[in-house]
Amino acid sequence: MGLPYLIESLLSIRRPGQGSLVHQGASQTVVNQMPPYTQIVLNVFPFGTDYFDIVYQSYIDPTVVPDVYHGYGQYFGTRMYEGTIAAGFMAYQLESLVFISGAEPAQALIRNNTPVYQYYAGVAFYVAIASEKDYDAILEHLEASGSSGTKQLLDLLSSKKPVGGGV
Amino acid sequence: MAKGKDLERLPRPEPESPIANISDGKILVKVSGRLKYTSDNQRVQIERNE
Repeated sequence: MGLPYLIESLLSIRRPGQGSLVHQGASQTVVNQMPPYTQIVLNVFPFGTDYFDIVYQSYIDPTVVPDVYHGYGQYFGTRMYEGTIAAGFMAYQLESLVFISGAEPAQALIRNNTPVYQYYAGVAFYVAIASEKDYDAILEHLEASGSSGTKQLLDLLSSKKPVGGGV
Repeated sequence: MAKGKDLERLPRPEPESPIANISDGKILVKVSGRLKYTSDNQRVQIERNE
């Protein structure tokens, strides 16, 4: 599967004569034994000293039994999905642009709606921006490039810049 | 279309369901990769699995 255009645009931005300003990553979450009729809420932050992360794809592992979990994912101002994690839901990767900073973590909830212990696993793909300086360099690059696609990305990133710094 | 900063913050979800009945210890959540996970639920233990 190809990367979303906006993510490709971000990954193509480089420092003059140096490497990429944006780095790709993947994160896996596993609950080997989720107790019956229990829910957990996970807060998702950038790891370490990362300034800003954007989750752009995620999926529930196909080994998870359908119709077992109720779940949702949300970040500031938006709940992307909520409902039973059914087979049809699990058949596709979820496309998103979830902006995560230290000040604005994302939240995910899963609830085991069955009377037995269950397994859960999910994967999220994201890009990471290491520092506020890099973030500003990206905005400058997008302002200078001026295409309609990068304008959209610039608007999104400008509106999401963490107030008062990152983690 | 309203931008994210114009929207009201969603309420934080309750960390544990009222119907939960855990008597056998903590729920272990294993995570890997450069995202950091935390939980408000004291029964949830986050383990980094690099």
